[in-house]
Amino acid sequence: MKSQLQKRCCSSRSGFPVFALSLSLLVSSFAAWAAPLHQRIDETLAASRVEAPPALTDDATFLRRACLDLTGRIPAPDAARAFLTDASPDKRAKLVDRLLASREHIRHMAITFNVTLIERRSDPHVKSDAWTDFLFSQFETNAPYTELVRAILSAEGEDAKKNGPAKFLLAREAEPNALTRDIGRMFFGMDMQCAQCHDHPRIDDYTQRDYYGIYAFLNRTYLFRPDAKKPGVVAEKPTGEVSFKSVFTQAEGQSKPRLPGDKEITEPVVKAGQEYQVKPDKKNKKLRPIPTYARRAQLAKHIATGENLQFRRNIANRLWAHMMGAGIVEPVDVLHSDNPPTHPLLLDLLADEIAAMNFDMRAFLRELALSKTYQRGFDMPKSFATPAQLASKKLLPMESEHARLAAKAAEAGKAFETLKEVILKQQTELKTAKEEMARTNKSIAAARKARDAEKKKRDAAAKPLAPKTKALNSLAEASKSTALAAAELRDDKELAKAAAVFADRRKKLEAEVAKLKKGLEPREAKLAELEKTLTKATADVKEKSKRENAAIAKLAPLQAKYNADNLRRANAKLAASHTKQRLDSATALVEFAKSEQELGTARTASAKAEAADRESKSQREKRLAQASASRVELAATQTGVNQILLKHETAGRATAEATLALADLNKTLGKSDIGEPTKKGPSADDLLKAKSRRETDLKTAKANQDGARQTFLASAKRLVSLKSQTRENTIALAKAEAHSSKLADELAAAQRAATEQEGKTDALFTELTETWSKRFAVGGLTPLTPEQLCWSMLLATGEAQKHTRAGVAEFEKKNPLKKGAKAVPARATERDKFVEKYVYGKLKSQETNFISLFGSAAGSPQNAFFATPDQALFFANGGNVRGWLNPSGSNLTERLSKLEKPEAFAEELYLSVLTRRPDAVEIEDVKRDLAARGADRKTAAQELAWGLLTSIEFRFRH
Amino acid sequence: MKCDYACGSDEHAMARRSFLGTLAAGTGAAMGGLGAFTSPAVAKELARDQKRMIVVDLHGGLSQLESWDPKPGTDTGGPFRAIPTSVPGIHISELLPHTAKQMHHLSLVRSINIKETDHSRGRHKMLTGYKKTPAGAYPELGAVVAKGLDDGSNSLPGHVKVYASGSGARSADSAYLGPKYGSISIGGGKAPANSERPSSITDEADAQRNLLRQRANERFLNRRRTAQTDAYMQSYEQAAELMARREIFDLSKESKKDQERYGSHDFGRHCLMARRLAESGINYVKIRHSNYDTHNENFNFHFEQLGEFDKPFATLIADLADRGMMESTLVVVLSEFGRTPKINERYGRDHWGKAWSICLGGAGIQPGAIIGATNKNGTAVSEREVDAGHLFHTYLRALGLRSNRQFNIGGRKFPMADPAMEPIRELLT
Repeated sequence: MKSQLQKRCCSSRSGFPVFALSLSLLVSSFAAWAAPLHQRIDETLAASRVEAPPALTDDATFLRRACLDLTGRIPAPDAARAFLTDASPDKRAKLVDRLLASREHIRHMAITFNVTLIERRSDPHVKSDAWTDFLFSQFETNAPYTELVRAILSAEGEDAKKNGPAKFLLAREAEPNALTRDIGRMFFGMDMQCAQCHDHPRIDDYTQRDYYGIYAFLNRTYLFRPDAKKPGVVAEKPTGEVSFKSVFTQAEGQSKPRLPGDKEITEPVVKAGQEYQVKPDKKNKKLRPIPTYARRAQLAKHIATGENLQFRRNIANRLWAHMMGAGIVEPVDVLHSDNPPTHPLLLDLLADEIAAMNFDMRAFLRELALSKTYQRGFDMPKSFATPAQLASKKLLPMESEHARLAAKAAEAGKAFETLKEVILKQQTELKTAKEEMARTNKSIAAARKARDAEKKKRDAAAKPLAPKTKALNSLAEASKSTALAAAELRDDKELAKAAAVFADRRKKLEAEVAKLKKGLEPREAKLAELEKTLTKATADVKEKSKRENAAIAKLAPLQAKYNADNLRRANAKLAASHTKQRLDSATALVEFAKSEQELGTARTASAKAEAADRESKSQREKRLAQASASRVELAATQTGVNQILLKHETAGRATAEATLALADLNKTLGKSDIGEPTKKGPSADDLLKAKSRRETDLKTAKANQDGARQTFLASAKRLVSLKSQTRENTIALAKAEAHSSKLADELAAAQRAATEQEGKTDALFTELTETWSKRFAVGGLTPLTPEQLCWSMLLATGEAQKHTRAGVAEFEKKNPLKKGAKAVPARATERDKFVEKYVYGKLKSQETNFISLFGSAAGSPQNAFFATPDQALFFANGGNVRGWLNPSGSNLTERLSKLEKPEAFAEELYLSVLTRRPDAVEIEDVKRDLAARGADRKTAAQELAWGLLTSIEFRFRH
Repeated sequence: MKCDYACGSDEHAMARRSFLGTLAAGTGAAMGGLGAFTSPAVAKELARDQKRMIVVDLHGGLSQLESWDPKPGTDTGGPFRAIPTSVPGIHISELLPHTAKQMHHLSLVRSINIKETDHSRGRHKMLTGYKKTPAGAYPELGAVVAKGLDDGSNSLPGHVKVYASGSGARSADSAYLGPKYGSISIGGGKAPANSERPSSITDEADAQRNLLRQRANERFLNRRRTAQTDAYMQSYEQAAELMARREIFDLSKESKKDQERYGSHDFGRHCLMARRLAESGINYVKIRHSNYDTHNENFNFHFEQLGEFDKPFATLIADLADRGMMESTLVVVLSEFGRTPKINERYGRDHWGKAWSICLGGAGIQPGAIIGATNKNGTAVSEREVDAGHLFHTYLRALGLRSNRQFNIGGRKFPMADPAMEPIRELLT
């Protein structure tokens, strides 16, 4: 058995050049010195890593993570405080062991498996308590996973009081197609629903054959209802074969029971009449028939060996996802080469290891929890320069490696397609041969029928011959002896007469016989003819069966090759896509680093542009001042010039006046003798005096005019120069303005580029974070399940502790410790058992509330995340949360409202709700909030607690 | 051998770019939607584009012969006559005189064969478009419509059922589409659960605690921001908006006159509620009228039931048309099946899935059309047989949804409607 398993393990990864960690080797000699699994997990991941993961997470994050994953709830504040203050170096391992040994762990696993296997279906057959009690007991005794699966799949639920294990089957009405789909999904990680009607259109790995391989284990199973008012029971028919036909290609097939990737199982031949252990009874419809050989029991048996590779991969992947927040293959029920695992080697290592651990889930979870991968920090590193450089060097070789593997995968895919065509051809040939064979068989049957009919006729015709021949013989004998006697006794007339009668009769009879014989002759000939036809047909059948056998013989190795080639194809594809994933991750890192660098450059450019912009703006200001100054001066000068021109004009007018007056005087003077006084007019003396005055006036006016002219000339010159200066200044300003606006545009462009680059870098960072988180290089973010959310809220608010205290009191009351007696560990264990059950019973209805609000619909996968307004309304206005936050007893808000110091308040609040201590900023915030609320501590406590309970940090696991 | 029959692209997968766009725009973008527009003109303009659906479920199985496909004067026809409608050539039962006047907004499909005669199986098929199997649950029409029409901006529930009594809680009829699209059943004018803040929490206290929540979130978002964290924060904003708008569930806000026009019985009130909810931007509203399971006295019962149904339903159609909402609102009157042409000895008609009718109109449905026909006495489909899956595709198409696409839910792909089926193209505009 072991060597067979080993062979399969090795062949399974024929696509990978890998050291075969085969099961048998591990179990025997290697086990002694092989490193613990958690180390090998880290090593396997490190070997193909292109990321640069952050250091391990801090204690608080680890504590919250481990508590949520292993017990389904955050720790109570006192437990958190104790762990955080514990200084021992191995406290994480100790915590893991403590959590795994707790009652809450059992509960959490029972809940997890219930949700996974039943998907919150309700059914009229199995009470959910019966089922969860069964699961609880399985995890309480840490039953191997194979044992759990065997119990679930072989259950019949005949005893209605103990039909818990039958829920998986009965919740699906024991309907073979429903069961095939969910067994494929849940135990093999293969959602093959599409393959019910045809090979999966988009997934090469999922074939109709695989679907019907599982289906053939279940096709005889049905729901038996002995009483419509009572729960159904799983029953099975003794017969029924499975054949199928693709709705696309019309290709037909048959299948015996077969697990995915394995061979069809060999089935015993059940003799006719011995099909039943308990025969159906027409008179007693309540009696459940039981077949001698049950196919479904074979499914349980074959699955429970744990030898099927896909089965091992599935549970390893699911438990990994349970701890890490995401599967190596995600979604966990879409395991195939088109949706490749992030780390195929890791998946196979885990698949082998869990088998080597005999499917001990607790031990397996422990190894996962102790790995560095599980304890990986949640925050991305601050700097990526060095790892990006390293990654960029790997890009080229990885690209060519990927190209090589992709070509190989394409080739393997093509070869497989060709093989499928050949098989299809051979199947057609076999079908033809079978049809011919059937035809030949038919003609044999016809020939035999004709011969038999003829023989019957001949026999009927020959029927009188035998008695007649016999009579003839006797008669001949008698005639002979009578004749002899008559010859002896010649004179005995009577005797002679008798002899004659005898002879006569004999002759007659002889003639009759001869006639009969003659009549038979053509019949005989016909019969011989028919006999010949039959012989020929029989010989033909030999020929035909030779053809059929040849076709079967040809098909057999092809079928064998089909499995091998399919595996080769899938593995080649897996190898190629694995390299592609690594390449993508490295590319994401390099691109992010590049983008970040470009962001730096863009930011520098933007800063530079800003400086230039500033400088140009100040230049422009200067020019503007200059230009306006010269414009002002120009205007002033212009005004000056105008005033001078006015002066000049005035002076001109004075000159003209003076000249005119002088001329008048001269005229007057010229009319009379000079010096002789006229009778009527001024005296010559007066005139001369006036003339002299006028001459002075004229001189002055001329001088004035001249002066004005001189001034004007000077001003006009100045004006010309000022004008040209102003023009120059204006041009300079325009230039400065143009420059400045260009630089402003440049600045805007640089700023835009920087913003764009920032957006791009942010996007790349988000992508990088997602990639790393998917590849387990950094802690991921997963929403709490409805149950985790409920129990965490109950613990954070102190509601759960209230019931725990009541549970302890109840236990002590029921089991009082006798005076002087010492409490023994066994009693503590008993008490823990009692208290967990007590608290769960008290708060289960709260869990139901949360499930109806936060869970997915019944019968759908339960890991999808939905955030709806009614969830938020439930937290905001619902009575439950309000009640838990109402200060009372020693619950969170009551404790908080009694704490005087804001620091102590903040620590209690953060430890209780977020399982960590507050940082300095948060303490300051709390201080301010408390100061603002003044004396109303209770309201402050309620508001602050609500704010954290509804925060993202609380809603998710990280 | 690969088949490409299902190669629809993932239209509804969250596009990375739009996700990042949301991130860049910040939480402000989470508001928006119809409710965010303060200008009624803008809301009206937008409302014209935003499609919605009203389903009237005549529970128990309406008789096609006493409604949409009368056969007067035949051995199966019963006592009622056929009357002309506002569409020349279309005749329906005389039990529906008001509806007959609105026929120009409506169309009939008279050739349905769903091959089911069990209430729950028939209802499953009519409301999911799939045959009921134990292998998997399918989302109801309302969930598919709510998801298909969800552009992430509407805080109101997209899928509402109006019953005589309802808890305001969400039900699980959305299957794999998730609880966000599960129906909220409202009854007696009750708003969704927990949508009213208890008096013990003051406005100030509520604002304060929400500030504290946001402060904690801002700090965490510096470390990690994902689509899920965004959705979680958004749910609180949507809750706040729902609380602010909870009076859309309050029928007393409608005018006295309208309340009188629709009538004081449950069905009338529910028709008015359907109008109110549709106007408020709720994507899918289902109302119900019981009970049409008339194994006994089919004719009396239909006389009485349709007498109650006819006027409020016709009023609803007339109002939707008046308000210009018919172009964007798909209205479907359906049942889980029809009733047998053969009249049994108790003057009843029994379950019948083979040849029956529905009435529908609005959005992308051509008005005044008749699809298919039954034979002379209605015992078989004689023309253009359709199944529930065809109708399902047709509804989605009429709402502008590409029914051959797939939803991507957490990495799993689910077709929007049965990929083996097709819409009734000649019924679509």
